Amino acid sequence: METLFDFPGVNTENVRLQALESEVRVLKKQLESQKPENMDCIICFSGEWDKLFAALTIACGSLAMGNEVHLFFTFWAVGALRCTGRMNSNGKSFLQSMFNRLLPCGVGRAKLSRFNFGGIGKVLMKQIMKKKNVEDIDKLFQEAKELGAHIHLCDTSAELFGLSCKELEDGDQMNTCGIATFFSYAQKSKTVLFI
Amino acid sequence: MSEKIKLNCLGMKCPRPIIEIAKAARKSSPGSVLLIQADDLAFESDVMAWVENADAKVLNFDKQGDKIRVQIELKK
Repeated sequence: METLFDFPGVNTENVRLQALESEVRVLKKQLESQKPENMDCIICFSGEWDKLFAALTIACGSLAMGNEVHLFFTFWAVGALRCTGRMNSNGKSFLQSMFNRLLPCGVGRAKLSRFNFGGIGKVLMKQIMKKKNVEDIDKLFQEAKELGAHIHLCDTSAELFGLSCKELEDGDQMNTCGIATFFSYAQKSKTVLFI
Repeated sequence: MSEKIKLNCLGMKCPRPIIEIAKAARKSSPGSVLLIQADDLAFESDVMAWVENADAKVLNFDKQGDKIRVQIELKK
């Protein structure tokens, strides 16, 4: 039977093979672009001491396993990035500065999500952790940074709480980011956590 | 040049021993040997997971009570 490809001088088998080959190449490229990289994204949302502790432990573990880690600080957790010496209240509205004052300053200052009892629970928890030689949260954060964790600050939350990068520890090299930035990392990640 | 590095992780709790291993591995040249001792209860499974992930090799493994001594060769 004669087909469209059957005309003198052209080998139909060859033409079809070439078409298939090029299709395979395109599919291969597509597959490779979808393959997750060794990357993990952690959204730090709650900002409570114990939850930050968990997030940072996971981050350090992932970095130790050779992955790239991106920590996104948003809402109640933005206080964890603040640094006592760098606060300033210039250009903030009344409400913003109220929130700013109430928000804990640095990871170590956050409260326990349970059994806090006005801070007594946290003191006791820290005592047990010290006795059992569990890493201190500040040290863990420092370690994560030294191992190369990428830290991102949510733009909207920063705006809400009247924070600027200048007020954060190592804020000079930091930029605020939005949801699209998060997704550009999250889509390539193997693990995405919301803590 | 491959080297031999000793790590004393006794008394350290998860994730510290694994962080120490990762740090040592970053600093040393490929094919180096790490000698680690640790007594964290999670260490046995953690170090095996790390080794598999890093394409390293366990040369020696010794467990006495909680105390573990392990010798690993980094990827060449």
